[in-house]
Amino acid sequence: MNFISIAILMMFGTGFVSGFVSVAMAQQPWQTKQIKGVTFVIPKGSGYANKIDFAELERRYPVSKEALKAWTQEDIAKLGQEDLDQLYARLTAGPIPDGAFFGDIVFTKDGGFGSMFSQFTPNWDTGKAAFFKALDVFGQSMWKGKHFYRQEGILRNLIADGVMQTTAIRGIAQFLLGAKPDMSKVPRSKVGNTQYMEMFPAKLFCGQSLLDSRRESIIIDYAYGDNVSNYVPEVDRLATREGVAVRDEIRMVRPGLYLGRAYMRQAFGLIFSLYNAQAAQAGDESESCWTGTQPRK
Amino acid sequence: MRLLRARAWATLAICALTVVIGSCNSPTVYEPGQSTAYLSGSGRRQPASTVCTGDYCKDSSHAYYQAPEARGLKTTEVLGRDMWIKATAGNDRYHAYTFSQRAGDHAMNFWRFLKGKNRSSRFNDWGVMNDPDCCTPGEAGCPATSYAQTYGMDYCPGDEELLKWVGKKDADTAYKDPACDMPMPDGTSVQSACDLKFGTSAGAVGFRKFPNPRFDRDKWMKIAGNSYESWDGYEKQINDGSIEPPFRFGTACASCHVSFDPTRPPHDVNRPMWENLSSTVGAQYLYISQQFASGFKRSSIEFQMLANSRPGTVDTSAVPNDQVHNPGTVNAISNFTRRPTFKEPVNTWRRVQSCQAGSNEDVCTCNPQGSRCYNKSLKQEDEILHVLKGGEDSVGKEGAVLRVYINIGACAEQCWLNHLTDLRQIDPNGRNFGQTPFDIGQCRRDCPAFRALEDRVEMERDFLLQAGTFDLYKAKGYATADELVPYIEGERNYGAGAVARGRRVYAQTCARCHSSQKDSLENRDFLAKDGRGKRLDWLGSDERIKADEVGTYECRALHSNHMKGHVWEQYGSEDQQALAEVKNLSGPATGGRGHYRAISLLNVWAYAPFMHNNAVGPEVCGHSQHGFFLKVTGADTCTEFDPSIEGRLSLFEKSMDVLLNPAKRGKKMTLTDSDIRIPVGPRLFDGKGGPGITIVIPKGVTVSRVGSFRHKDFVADIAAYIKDRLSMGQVKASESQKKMAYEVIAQAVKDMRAAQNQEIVLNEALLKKLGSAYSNCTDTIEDKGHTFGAELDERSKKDLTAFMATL
Repeated sequence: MNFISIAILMMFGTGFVSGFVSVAMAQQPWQTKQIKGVTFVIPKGSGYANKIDFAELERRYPVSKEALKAWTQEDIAKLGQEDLDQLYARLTAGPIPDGAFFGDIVFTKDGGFGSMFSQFTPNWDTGKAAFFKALDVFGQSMWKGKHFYRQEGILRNLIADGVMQTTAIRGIAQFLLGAKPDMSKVPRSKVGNTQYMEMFPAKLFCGQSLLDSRRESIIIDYAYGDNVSNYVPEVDRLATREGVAVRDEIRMVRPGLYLGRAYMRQAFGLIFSLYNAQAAQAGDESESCWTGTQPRK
Repeated sequence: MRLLRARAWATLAICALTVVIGSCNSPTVYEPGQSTAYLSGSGRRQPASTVCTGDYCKDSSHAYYQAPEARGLKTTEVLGRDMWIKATAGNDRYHAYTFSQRAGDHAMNFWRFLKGKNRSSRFNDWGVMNDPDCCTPGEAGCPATSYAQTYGMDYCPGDEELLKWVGKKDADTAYKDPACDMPMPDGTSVQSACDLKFGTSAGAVGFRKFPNPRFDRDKWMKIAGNSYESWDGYEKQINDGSIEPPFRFGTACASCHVSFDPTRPPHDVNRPMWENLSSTVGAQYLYISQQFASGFKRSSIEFQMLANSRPGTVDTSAVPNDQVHNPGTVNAISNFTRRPTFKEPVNTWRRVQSCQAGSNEDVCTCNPQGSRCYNKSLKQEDEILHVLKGGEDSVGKEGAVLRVYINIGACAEQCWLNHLTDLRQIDPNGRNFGQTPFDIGQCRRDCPAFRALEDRVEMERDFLLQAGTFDLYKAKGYATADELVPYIEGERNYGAGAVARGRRVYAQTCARCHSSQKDSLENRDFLAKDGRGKRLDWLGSDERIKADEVGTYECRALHSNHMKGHVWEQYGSEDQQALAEVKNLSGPATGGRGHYRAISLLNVWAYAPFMHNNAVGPEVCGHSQHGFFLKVTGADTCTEFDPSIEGRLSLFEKSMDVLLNPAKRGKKMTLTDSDIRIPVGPRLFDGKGGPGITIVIPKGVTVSRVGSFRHKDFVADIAAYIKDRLSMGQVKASESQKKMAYEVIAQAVKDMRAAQNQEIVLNEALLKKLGSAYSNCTDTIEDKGHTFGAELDERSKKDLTAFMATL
């Protein structure tokens, strides 16, 4: 993925993490650390081969639903990429959400676009941090979450409906697509007392996780967004197969809170979380998707 | 043969009559799943008590169980054959979801070759063996009267029940799979046979179908134009994961191993009977690779890497990708009791009586029933086979059988995919940047289908071990091999004494590698049989030979998946993984790479063209309807599939001529047949405006240059070079490779600007230049090498050919 793609992601934002963990030596061959009641395994060294296999991770250090009951979006935002991966792998998909969920982006420096960017740039830690912080601020001002329509099997993203945002989107559409969108055509909805634009429609179904194959995730696939009602090609096309083919996948941390991963053309980009207080209160822990055959303890 | 065929048709007619009588009250407007019993019980078949009893055996007197390859089998072997032909072990999920969604926009379109309307040309188009027990809806005797009842598919035994479950939410758990009734002859309590997942035939042998619980009839009718039988709408958006077809399709081992019995070819290649089929001979006509790529865009790199393979060959390391383009043939499983075995140390799981209480489950585990326990240890094994082309899968017969199930998708989600390379991951610290080893212990623990297979693998092994040979003398109707000689020397014009002289040439020139006997070469009887009529000589040593000594196309020998740290680490013996580096090859050849085993020449008359990639000899092909003719330099024509005895012999003779006369070889190179277009930014509309870029590899480049390219190393070097430049660092002379990588791309970008388009073009010359640093195999000539025998005079070559026809 190139810098252009990263720029597109500005609408989704970024956020760095800081360490808040305690390290302990375990009896097992792996070193572990505890974060808010969950055990994470420390890789044995740098390199992909030094990370624990997810099946072994789950066998040795399962995460119960009870252990995650107090987890929040803020907790997720503090994790590094490997910890996020290990958390995600020990989750199940849960029920396909319904309604509006508020979002938060987790842009790690050691995963997705952060690590891709690092591959090509020198170790300008301060400069990179500032760059990603700027992306984060911009993205958070634009993207507010996702609106699920479970019965229809579709979803749209909630974008702040203000002068700055509509101007920015017009600029991006013109720069990337050569289009001049009429923003009045973009559907709007109200969540609480706030009006949002609903953009980038996607299909919603159970499918393969691109990180952990052992059980399914809830897939949010933008590739065929043009088949969804109220599609506005001048902007929405950006996320479809005609654009960068965005594909998100989510699993439930606890009722109302989901952990997500965003991909573009199958390349991992960033992490996000979604939260809905009503869903949290409802406490639905049913499973819409295939939960695999390795039991979650 | 005619009698058998007549009997089979009579059976079908009786079935049909029964069906007609029994279906008088059927509604006149048919819905999917509405049909009557077909080839199931109803007193038409007498259970053969020697096989088994109960529901599972209701078909035991059917032609399927009376086929030549099934005659005389022990009960366990009969069941092993059923597993071989029907068991998918759940790989329908792999084909339906994993393959399409993880690869991205690359679904496997089973419908394209299994649609009912293709039945009359399925062999010609795809090299597929039609299932003799299936029928075309609407044909006389077929219980289904219209394609609307079968969603456009053939009607096959068991469909009466299966079709009822299409679109039912609980189909995965409530539909009783036909495998559930499979008995365990010794009565051991083991993993449920349901997990073998037979489903019903999808119209072709080895291809199975399952009711899809996620099928939504309303959605389907909307995209299909109010037609149950049309898949047109689905095909148009096959990569839209929100739309699921009526069936999930699975593949059993037989899908790649079944073909026509060379000694009993069918009169009609699209209407074979069971007596015409062998499930062990190897699918030598099958467009396997093209089937996998059947839903891909032609301009995708995945299509061009996968689909440009000869019929009967497939790159089995395409999904567990090792970035070596190496399609290979499916070998015949023949006379394995005489196959050479080796003593090699193997670190693997072995059956033990029990595991001690509290033992470490990393080294000792039992199945949940406690009836089978396994211990992992490093031990010398006495009977190791060298199975794959380079002698890999050298951990025992059972292990080799089980690994193939994984490689075709069984337990893929639970055990395999997390260990494969993510081709888009460019961070060496990121998960799936490269392969990690598949863990047999983990798979046994976490995947019921693995346990279901492992608990019964001995039955399948025993079926394979007893598979016989396909001798030409039998094909020609002679009682002995001696009676074949006059035919070879007379009718085929090799001249008197040719076979005997050829035997001597074979002993002197070929038998060093292509014989398994140990006595003096001169005195060896290559056609000898034991007391039970089984051939004594396997006609191959199976020794691992350095690829530079054989001299054939090198890429397959550079396959790396069985190395330490790679996905199939647990399927390579210690000896193999410790083999010394083979130098002078066109890619890295350490860690067990760089070898070919000396294969069997049993019944070589039936298996031309030659070599592991079918490249030495005429090109063969099916019909052109699907557009899968290969573009091969040095081979402008192709010989259409001809599985008749004369067709096979003719192809054998032509291939022998090319083999023994290397100057006649065409220096074949398979070329891409479409521009490859890889978008690296947003696709732009009508090419106007915006900064999106597409990498273009023009049509006509050598496929292996693309398929063996290590793009991650290339990207990493460019990144490192850019990093150095941005840091104002000096690029060291030793890093000239990085500089070269950067300069190639910089020049391509410069050319793009000059052309005023948005295409970075990587042509053959640039790929060749990059390949010198970033390819796992730079070899390109596919029909080179193995020049043994080229020095013989013409008479000796003819004699050798005459003798080898008798093998």
